[in-house]
Amino acid sequence: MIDEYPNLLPVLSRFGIELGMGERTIGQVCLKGGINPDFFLSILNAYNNPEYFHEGSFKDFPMEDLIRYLRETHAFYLDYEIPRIEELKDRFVSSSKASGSNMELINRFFNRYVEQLIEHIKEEEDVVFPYLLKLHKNFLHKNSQLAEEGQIPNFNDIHKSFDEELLDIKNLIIRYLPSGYDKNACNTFLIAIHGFAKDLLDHARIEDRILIPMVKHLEGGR
Amino acid sequence: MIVIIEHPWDIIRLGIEAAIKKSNDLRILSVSSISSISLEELPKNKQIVYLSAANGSNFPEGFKVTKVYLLANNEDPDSLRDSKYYLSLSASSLDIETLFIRLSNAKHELTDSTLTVREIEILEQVALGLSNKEIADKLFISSHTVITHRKNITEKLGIKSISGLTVYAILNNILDASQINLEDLI
Repeated sequence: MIDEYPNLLPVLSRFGIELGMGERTIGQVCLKGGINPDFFLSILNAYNNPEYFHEGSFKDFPMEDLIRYLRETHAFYLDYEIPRIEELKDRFVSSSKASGSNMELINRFFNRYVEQLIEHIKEEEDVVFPYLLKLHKNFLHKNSQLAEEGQIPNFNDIHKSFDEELLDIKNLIIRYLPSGYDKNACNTFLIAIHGFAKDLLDHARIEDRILIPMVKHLEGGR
Repeated sequence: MIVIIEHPWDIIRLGIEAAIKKSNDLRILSVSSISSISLEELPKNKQIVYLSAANGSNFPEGFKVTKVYLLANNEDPDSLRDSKYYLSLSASSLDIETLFIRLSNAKHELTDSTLTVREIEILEQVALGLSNKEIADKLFISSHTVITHRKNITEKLGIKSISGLTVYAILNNILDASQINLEDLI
């Protein structure tokens, strides 16, 4: 599976699964890691396949595991991936020999995008996830205090707009940036954005197609 | 810059010529029909601005031509498919001056944008931060038309977000960075 879909490597890490699993089956690896195999497969499928929708009910889905998985992903973005791309961006921008007002524009656009993305991630971490965990706990204890609907912002739209902007940055550089910068720095940066955009999209899909239905299920009280 | 004004009426040509003579560095050719100019003799290294009510542009290969449509009062800019610039015959001399300032500033005219006149107008308003309704009201068209134009713009440019379109507009001199509050949009 990893051979064919190397993009799943980070996903495994987010579950806390280390490489070197030898000949073990998925079931065994999950057992060892204390992971619900059904859930594990759902996440992998949602991540890899844009058309995937979870068929069964969300009744027994482990909310804590899901939140933990999503938090791991966010930590990866905040601590590793975003700084890495910012560094590539800085190299690209400073390689521009031209009197950079165009480059400066792209720089500002990208910086603001990152700012907003980080804000969004923090909102999910500080507001949304705790709310969901509380909701889940209430539900488990059959707490009659049902949640109010609409506590969660419309993730679908928010995620879509982040995806659009990142791809716009990429297109602006590819199509409309006049010359005068180091081509290797540019290409490395673009490739990094491309990969990041894809990962973000897949991550957003998990939030949209697994997390949100779970929430609706919980808010519905059944 | 070489300006060719093509129109059958002397009075129109004289009027336009008077309005643009204020700019320096212009060589003006005023003719009732383009066929009276020997195009091959024009320099290929200078920008040629060709004002005409006629369709198409009959220039041979290798010339840097920017076509500006001369629109009669009842003509609709929306119907122009292949030109970015137009001048209405009821334009004021200020409009004409502004047009020529834009023409002198514009870079990469012929190779880049395939946007029509109307699309550029709408792109400008989008980049300035107006909503679809506000744009519709400002340009006296329907919201539906605005939305259609925006879809076409996105398809042609490959840019979807408002911030992205704003950056594009600045990069291509449709807007000046001083016209917007950069903090808001970017």
